[in-house]
Amino acid sequence: MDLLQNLANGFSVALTPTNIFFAFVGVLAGQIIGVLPGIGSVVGISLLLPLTFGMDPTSAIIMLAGIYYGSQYGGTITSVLINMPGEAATVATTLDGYQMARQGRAAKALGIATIGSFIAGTFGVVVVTLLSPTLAEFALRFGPPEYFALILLGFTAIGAVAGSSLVKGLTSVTVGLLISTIGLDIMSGRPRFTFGEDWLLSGFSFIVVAIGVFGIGEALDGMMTPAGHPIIRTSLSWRESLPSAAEWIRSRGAIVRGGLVGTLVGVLPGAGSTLASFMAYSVERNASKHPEEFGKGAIEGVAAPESANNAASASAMIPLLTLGVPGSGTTAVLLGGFLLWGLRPGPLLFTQHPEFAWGLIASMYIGNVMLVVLNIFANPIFAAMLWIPYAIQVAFVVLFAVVGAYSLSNNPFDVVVMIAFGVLGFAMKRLDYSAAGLILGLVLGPLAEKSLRQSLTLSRGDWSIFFERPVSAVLMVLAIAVLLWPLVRKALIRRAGLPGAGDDVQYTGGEE
Amino acid sequence: MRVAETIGALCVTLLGITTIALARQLPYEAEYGPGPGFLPLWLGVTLVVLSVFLVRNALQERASVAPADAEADHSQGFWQFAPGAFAPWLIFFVSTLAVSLLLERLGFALSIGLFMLVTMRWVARQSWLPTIILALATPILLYLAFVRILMVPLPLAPPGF
Amino acid sequence: MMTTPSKFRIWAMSLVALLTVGMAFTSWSGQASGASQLPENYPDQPIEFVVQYAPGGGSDNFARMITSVLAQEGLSDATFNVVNREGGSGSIGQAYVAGKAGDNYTLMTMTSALVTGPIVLDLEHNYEDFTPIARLAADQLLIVVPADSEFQTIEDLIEAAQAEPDVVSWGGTGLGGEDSLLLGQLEQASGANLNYISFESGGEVQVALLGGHVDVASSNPNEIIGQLEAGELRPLAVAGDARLTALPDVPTLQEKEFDVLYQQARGVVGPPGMDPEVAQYWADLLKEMTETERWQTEYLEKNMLLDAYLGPEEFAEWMAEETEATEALVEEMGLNETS
Repeated sequence: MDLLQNLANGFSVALTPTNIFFAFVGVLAGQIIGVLPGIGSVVGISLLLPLTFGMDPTSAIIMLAGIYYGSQYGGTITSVLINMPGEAATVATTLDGYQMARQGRAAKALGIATIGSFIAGTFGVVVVTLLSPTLAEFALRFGPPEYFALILLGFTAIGAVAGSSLVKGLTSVTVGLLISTIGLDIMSGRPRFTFGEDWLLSGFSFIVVAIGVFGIGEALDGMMTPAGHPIIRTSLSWRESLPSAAEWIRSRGAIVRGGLVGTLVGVLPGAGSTLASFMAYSVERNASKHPEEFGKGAIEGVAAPESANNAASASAMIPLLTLGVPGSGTTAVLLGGFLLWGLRPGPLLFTQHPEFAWGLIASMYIGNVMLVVLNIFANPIFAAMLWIPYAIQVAFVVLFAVVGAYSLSNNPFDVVVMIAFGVLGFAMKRLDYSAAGLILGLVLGPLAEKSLRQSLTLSRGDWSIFFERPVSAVLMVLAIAVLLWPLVRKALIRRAGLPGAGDDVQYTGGEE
Repeated sequence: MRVAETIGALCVTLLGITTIALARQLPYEAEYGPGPGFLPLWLGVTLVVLSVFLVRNALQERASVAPADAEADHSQGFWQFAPGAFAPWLIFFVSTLAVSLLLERLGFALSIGLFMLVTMRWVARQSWLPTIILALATPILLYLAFVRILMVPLPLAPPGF
Repeated sequence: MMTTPSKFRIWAMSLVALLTVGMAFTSWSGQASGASQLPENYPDQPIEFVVQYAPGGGSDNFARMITSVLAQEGLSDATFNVVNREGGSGSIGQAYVAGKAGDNYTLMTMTSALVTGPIVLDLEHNYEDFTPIARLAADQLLIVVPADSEFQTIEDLIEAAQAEPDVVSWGGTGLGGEDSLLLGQLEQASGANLNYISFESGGEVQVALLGGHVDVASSNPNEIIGQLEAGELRPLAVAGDARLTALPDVPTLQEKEFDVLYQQARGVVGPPGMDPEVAQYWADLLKEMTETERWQTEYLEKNMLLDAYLGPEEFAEWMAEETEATEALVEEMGLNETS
């Protein structure tokens, strides 16, 4: 079979000692870069891109792709241990991961994240191997109306991240949406809420806000009651991070669903792994038999988003390899690398440079294996960070937040903005407003608004565009169904005569 | 906490009203469909509506100050510190603000070294020796990791460090 | 309960920290020793080459190519630090460089956006705030349609857009962006009326175009070479003043009697008040560089760019002319009504 032959050739490229070495350097660097807040995969890859100048392109892409998916593993660690997402796509992980760490189950949370990432990541690579052309076709069918419908579906995650009070959760999301409108409005070419300040034209960087609201906000809150953060002495044995049988049974569905959601959303240019992780979290909460445990340290609340973001980082390679268009910020930098190495990205890449494309795909299998081994042993050591007294931990949180925010685009303003959002995050934390809701609004806001306005410009003001196109119509109906599902379930439970589902009151209207 | 809840809710109201006022200066409609002012305006309206509920909830909490509720999750005050935690918190907060504002002026090495010195000594209450070692080692490590290896141009003070 | 950490652990931690420092120092000293031999005369300090856009983009590639050709051809042994200070449509990097008045050790990339940005977006710093050094290359804009498009020629497209306004959709990277200025010129020259749809990035425009969600778009050739070769996109016209050597069958808009000329420039500028001798030093060095085989093939040819060298004075004059033309165009398009 052609495919197997190609893959075999790919492995013969990827398994040369040089390329194994570069894959290892890549995943290790990615792991470290993911741990450093602010230095996400985009910054990490762009920092290392110049070093690949003059390298063999295949080795170079193997290393840089390793950084990309390696950082998805690494980004989990700070999310779980200190509630500071190192990567945009791990915000959803903080919801349950940090709670697990507070309960002394940090190694378990990291372990399930590693295992989920490995399974879903490898699944993603299998899909890349087998279905690249098909999924590229699928991605091309997504025009603005389909994106809008998909984002609407993403907004159904509000219920999952709202926290204890729905009104407060909605307020957080709305404020996040509002923050997302700051900057240059590309549809009208007009600045919004920039007050004449040029540096606000690109808006607030999502990661600067996330580091502030989560990391600094949590640190300021925690320091009010430092005794609430006792030193947690975890075992250093690697067995510590493996899930128990019961935990595995709870998580395996989440890993499968997360992997599917991640693969499908990840392939869509512009949507990316952040949206995938939020959607997977929300899907999991809706599918769960005990949604009330979410946000309080449910292990599947870690498994789902982590599986989704790794699957998404694999399938994000599809548009890059088959169409030659970047699907995310990180793949855009990779595409810049292609040009730097003298390759022409595009539909002919597979035929013109099979050793490059297939070598990369094969290396992703190898890289994922390296990462799972690396992390299984490293997780308990990372979890041992919680041996450090809390007051010393928070000093390092501030340190990395400051350096991370600065190095994002080498801009001292970002540090001040980050601290300001830290103060906001502190107030939100004290008053029990959902920080994840704010981030959700901030991420989805621009996507939703842009695709809505693009659609209506395309249709010249005709709203029926959302229901005339098959993919868009299906997604719209699905979004509405998911929004109504909790009400339906409640009615069913009531009819069955079981006690009500408590605080699970859902709203029925999205933002737009 | 009830006072803080109410103040928080009123901040949301204020934010909503400000948003509405600013959004009205932007075109509500484009040639086709919503313009740049559409989303901000409705977000402002949403915030005002939500804040009505927030205020109501906050005031209800005030009315039902039953002793049973006293132990509920958020019955402790906004500024409720653990005993003895206030002074270290304040020092931590002020030094966090300081490091962000002074980063460029003092260069990263000096500002971060000072930050570590203050927080290790008076927030984490370490003795002088580990404090000084950490205050010296941290900027050096950051310099090596970020400036030398990752080539991030962290702001340097005039002496070049 | 707050456990006081034992003295031992604090000591152990400090020791680990010290050891790490030591190891890091030894590993780094090996790397640094090679670069420390700088010449006595200028440039005796590392040059900070500021890119006001994100890594992996056109300006980033441009800056890195310059430093690499200079080094590989042995034209300069200066140390360059290419630094991305992106954000705010280039304004963050520009404000940074504008604040380094009189600094002879900073360079910045220039694109046509340095001319259009201040006009369309009302950015604080325009080209007059920088020391012009040299214009090096001109980038073309191609007008492309999907392979299965009904439009076979640029005339087909224009006729359809003249017949009924706003039925033909044009995907671009934002109103006020350079592709929208090209469209503005084309609409004025032909009386056609297209429906402009803004996207976040060139990549998103390409996806929308390949998926048939928009009818036509403009793009720099190097962004779509792959799609053109695979026959998935079809070029209708080029907006420059001459056909591209790589695409000899694609007519210019001027040949087709549309009075449109739009080229994007790439160049290098310095901070305000850079010494004229220093600016001239770089202008001469860059001129020498553009004449090398390596630059011609590995940068210009590969990216389908035109050689467009201008020295400091001509460069400044050209930017002034461009500013005037853009102001007139923006005025007519009504892009600067408010803000």
